[in-house]
Amino acid sequence: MEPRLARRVLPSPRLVTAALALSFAAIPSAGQPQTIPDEPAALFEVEVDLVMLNIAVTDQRGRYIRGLRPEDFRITEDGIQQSIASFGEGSEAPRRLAQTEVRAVGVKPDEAPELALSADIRDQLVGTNVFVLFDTSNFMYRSLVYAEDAIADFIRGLDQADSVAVYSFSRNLTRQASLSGEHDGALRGLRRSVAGDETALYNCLLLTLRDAAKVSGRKVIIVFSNGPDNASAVSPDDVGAIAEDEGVPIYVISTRELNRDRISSNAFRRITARTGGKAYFAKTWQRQSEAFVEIREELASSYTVTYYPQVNPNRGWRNIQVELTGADQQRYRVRTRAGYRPKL
Amino acid sequence: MHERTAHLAFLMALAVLVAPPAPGSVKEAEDLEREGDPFGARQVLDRLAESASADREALLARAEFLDRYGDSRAVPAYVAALDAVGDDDQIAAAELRRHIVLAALVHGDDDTARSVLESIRAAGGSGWAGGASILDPPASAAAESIAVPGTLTSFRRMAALSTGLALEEILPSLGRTIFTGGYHAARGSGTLEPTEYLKLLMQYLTQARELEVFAGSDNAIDVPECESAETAELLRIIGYRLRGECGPAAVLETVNPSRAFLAIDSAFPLAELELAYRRGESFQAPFGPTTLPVLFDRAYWRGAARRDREDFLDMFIEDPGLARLYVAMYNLHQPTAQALRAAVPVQRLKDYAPVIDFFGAMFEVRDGVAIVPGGDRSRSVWEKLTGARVARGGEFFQALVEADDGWMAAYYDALARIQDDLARAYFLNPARIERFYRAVRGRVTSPGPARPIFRASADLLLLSTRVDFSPDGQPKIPGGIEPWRELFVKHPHGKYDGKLTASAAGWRDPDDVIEAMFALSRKAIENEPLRMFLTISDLDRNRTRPLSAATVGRLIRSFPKHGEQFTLYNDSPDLNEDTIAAHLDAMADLDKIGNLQRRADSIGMLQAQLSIWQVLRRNGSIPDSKADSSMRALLALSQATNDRQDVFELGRDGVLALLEASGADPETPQQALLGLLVGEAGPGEEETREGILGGINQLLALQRLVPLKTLFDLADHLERVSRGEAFNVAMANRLSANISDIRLPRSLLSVEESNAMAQGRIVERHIQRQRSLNLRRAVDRAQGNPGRLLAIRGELAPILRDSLVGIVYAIHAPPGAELIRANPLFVRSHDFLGPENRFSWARTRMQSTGWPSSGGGRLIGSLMSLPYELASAEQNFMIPSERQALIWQDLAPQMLLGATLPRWWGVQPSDLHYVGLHVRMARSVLAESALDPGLAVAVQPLLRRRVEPSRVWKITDAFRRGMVRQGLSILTPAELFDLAHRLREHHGSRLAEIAEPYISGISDLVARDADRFSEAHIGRRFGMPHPRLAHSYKLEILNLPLFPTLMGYSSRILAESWESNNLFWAELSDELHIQPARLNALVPQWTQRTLERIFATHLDDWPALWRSLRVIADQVREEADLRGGSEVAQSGAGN
Repeated sequence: MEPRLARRVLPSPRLVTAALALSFAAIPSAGQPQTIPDEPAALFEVEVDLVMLNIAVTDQRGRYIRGLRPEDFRITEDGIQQSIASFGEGSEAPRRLAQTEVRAVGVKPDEAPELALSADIRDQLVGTNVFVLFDTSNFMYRSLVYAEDAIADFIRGLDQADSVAVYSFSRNLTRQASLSGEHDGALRGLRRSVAGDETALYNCLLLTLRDAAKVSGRKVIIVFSNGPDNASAVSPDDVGAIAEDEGVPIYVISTRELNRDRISSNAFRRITARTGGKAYFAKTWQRQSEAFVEIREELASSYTVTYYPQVNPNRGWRNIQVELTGADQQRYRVRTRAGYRPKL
Repeated sequence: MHERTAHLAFLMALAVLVAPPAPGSVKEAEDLEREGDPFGARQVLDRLAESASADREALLARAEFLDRYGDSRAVPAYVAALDAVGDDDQIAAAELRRHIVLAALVHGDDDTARSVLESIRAAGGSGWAGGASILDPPASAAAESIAVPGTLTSFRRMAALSTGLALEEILPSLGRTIFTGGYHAARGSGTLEPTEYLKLLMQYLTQARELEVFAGSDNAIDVPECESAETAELLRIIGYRLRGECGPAAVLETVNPSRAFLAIDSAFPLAELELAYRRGESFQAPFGPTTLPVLFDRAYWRGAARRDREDFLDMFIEDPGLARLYVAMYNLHQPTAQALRAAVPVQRLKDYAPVIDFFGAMFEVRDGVAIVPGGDRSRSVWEKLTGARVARGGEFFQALVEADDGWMAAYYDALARIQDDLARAYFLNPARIERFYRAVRGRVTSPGPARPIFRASADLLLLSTRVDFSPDGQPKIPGGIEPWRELFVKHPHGKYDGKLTASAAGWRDPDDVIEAMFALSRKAIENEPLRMFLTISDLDRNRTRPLSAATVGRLIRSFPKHGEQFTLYNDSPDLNEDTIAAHLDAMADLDKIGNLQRRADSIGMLQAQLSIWQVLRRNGSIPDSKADSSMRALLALSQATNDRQDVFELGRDGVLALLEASGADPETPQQALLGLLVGEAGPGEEETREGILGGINQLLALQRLVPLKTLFDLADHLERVSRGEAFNVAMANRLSANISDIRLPRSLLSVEESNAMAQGRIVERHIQRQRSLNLRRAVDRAQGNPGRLLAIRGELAPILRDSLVGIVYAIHAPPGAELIRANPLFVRSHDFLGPENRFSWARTRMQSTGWPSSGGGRLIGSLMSLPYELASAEQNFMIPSERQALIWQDLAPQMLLGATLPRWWGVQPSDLHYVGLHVRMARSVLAESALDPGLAVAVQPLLRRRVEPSRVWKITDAFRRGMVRQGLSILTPAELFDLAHRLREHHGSRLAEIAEPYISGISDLVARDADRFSEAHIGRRFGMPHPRLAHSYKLEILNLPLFPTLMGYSSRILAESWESNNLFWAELSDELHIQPARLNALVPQWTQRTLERIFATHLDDWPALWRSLRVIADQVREEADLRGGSEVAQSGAGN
């Protein structure tokens, strides 16, 4: 069995051949790594950055709740209450909260607030960086054109403040259009996709995550795939863990029926839920379009909240909880990510 | 010319003698260069040239300097020197013009070359009879062409053809894709049916023809406005419709999915069309037929077509046999193709197209005569074998390809590729040609080697290439004849080959053994003795004392189970035979451990330590004098068969033995080991080294591996606790801090997924045991019993195994190392037993990929081929930079291996310069051979020794057409480097005339330190590992011809015979004056970029790799220009 060199179906040799999310932003901060001396105890270094949360609140019928204020939220990390540094709704620019108390590890109190809300960073927080990952493997041949139409509609409908990148994948990843606020460029990239062969979804999702991690600000990945993965070397859960750490919610629109491939369906649900995203099983192209509309609505309705973590000796997994404080609001659902691991 | 060169040299020498050495002098530049600062030297020369007082000597020195370093600015620099010389010195001026022409041709500045050639001709200059081809390139013969509907871009996409192909390469490349991937046998009937690929291509051609009609005679799709008849027709053809009104709301959406798919897959500019509708603009796009040249003429191919069709392309893609014949004839040495065409009817040739395609590269007809391996001496034997006369070249090759279902052509091809003088003398002896061929042929010739999709002659090629010879010309049979006789006569599991078993008893000399190997070489299975022979020959090759018969016999017996581990001995070729025997014993002993966990821990730990030992031997950290003792110390681990505590203790002793043998500090064992493995940095190289070490430490941290010192301290502490000391909880917590964060993938999965999970139970238990380790509780349970307290240390054995295995993973991590970074259990998941516990000593392989419920891919088997497998896994995380291209599996890992195994510490700028000078000298001499037919006669035989006749013809044809740079690009850096050595060997005295300023530079370097520039040293610095070809990871340059893809190896042997990368990077770094130590970081980066840039059309498409290397080099040059020269020298380009 041998490899092929270009994306195209060849029979030989191989074939021939919303609540939304919580983000841990990679915004460079004044956070100093904690260095532990030499070999015996020197296991890890930990970097502590500004933590960004995208939070969506829905009522019992799944409708988005808007107009909430910072004081409506209570955020804890490993049970330690956090002070909100900035707050914003939808794609609006977040505003600084003056009374921010900064006791974050490694962040000088007199520097951090300014840093958090400098003009550059505020710009980064306006709009969402949307990475569309589009499956062009041979499992998608029948629906490729409709999928492209649905993605094109989604891109056309994005807020002008949003940036979008279009990647496609089969065995390897292709960057069809780099992240840009110029949506026509994304459409051009989308329309240049080439059909491929095998499906290395999780490998390529990982690579997309690596790209997303380099970008500051709010970001999401939207995967359009019917699975099943047949070529990846990384597991969905390892990729999900990295997405959690990087604070990138993942949405999956699967074009297969839920019950056709339960293993892939479970993986999709798990990976989206733990990152604060959502899985849609939309067999018809009409349902796919509806899924995109819903994701777009989520992006426009979520809250962006940042904080500097308070002193926390935990070098491993940190649990985050977001609650609504008002008595009337207890009936609402908050969808968010469970936590993150500080960077080594 | 010699006189002119001497004159220039005299002027230079005079300038140096007469001018006082002042700051900014040529002398200062020379001193700086000699001291290893070529960048400083270039700055001095640049300043001198820019100064108002620049004299001709300074200008000359700068031009020659730039020329020696391959800088394209050498051309204007020579021109400036020529201006300074003027008409005062006719001899010097003539020599400068010669330099300008050659440098301009090499750098592709044909206008300057032409202009100076004109001036030489105008001045009545003589020589360079071939200069006419530059001045007046002959018009191409009016080749016939065909029209392909639509744009070339769309056609390439639909046909899966590389964007780097020249027009004349399109049809042959398409032909290859058609016969390899265009058809498959239908179930039941076995008739050929088009694949999905070909169906789509055919459908696309139909759509493209419709679009051509729409485009009309203007060859342009023109839609003046949204609401028009043109819009309706165009959208119908491409399968879309407008949703919404024309204007800002206009959206294109699919209405006919089949047509729409073809439109987007062929890159129709759909987004641009939609944008035009939304903006209310007209839309234009060129859309006309593409003209492609056809080899010979259309009528010739029609004669072979299965069904005559009006359209050539339709006829071509409908007939895979015709497509293959086209490919075969295109790739032949063209005079040979013409001879075959003249001698054999096309229909008959078509029957043998697979044989010509696979084995025709070495066919050559010159002046009507076949040039056969062995020359005149072996002519008669070839005539006897084929029944045809060599003097009638076309008929001879017809007979060759028709003989024995292709076996004779395969044998001919293998013999024609032999380069080594001793091997040629031996194998091309007429009697042996016939004798060995009879062995290859056997009684039944079917199936032939051209029947499968890949050449089934891999072992034949390897045998004829890799047999080692004594100086007296006799083949070396490792251990003598006896162990091999015994292998056949007393084979424990029956017979390998009945005939050979019968004949082995009568073997008398090496020829008998070689004959037996030839007989085995055509077998795809049951040829294990041949693989043993090649492997053990490689072990014996570099030993000062050949292996004894007893050891060879032992190795033969161990081969089936432990043969993969023999590579270990190649990094220490003078290893004592007793040590080898001890290693074989150790492997056998470890296999006997009944407890599988303990067996896996012991084998894993020993293999990790031996892998570390292997690297330390290779980089010289363990000296020759301690090679045996240090390895024997590690092998003591095999005695820990009954006790887990012993596994830990002996494992620790092994680490200490490695440190002791290397003279390193045992107090900080992990950092000391890592430091040794990364290698010793010289002055100014520390920062680069720290960066590499930092990367390795980060990978170890991501895998949550416990540092060696933590483990050793804890073990010592437990020993003291057994003597009454209080237990140190903090120390235990330090250990658990690493391990507690490890989560088994199974814990995350649904029941359904867990049931489907492929994770091995042994591996899972291995991880689970570490997670559940609670030292404090264990100490409590021991209740002060010293023996039980000491035994707790056994619980550290699996942790120590992982820490050591992790070090091996980390030091061999390819660029990116995504798997290690993404999967925190990757190291711990290494399965040293494998399915049915049979893989402990087998080659490393990846398992559980493409299975979402598997918990991710993991490696099983031994660590011996870990570097290759890690590289192989990593290629999945490369991102092709060319749309539609895929990463070239089987080639990429070897390229990564060649980039990560070498360390560039201690490499001097002069080493890089030595390589650069050779490659440039070869290019320059070849360029001059394009102008000087006499020189071409001298150079071509040297070229033919390494390069196939078909490519030599392409080079000379390009030269004949005045395309010198294009001709030069046909040769790889390794071929140029080799050619330069052959030039020095065969034409040393003439090089002073034709190879300045390069040969002076080489001579200066060699005069300073001949040993430094010996073949072996250069191989160690710029060579590649050859795990399959030479059973070794040591770096060397084998100087083998480029192998094709082979059955059982795919592109792997091709990749190992491609030895150009590090030579190319050395040449580039020399040109840009990059500090060699920086290459530790840069070469992996450049290599990754190169691999991501390759767009190959088929598995033999190595020119795509070569194109990609050149593109990346150009990018690095641009980056260097942007950064400014000094920054390049200090910080390296490409960061």
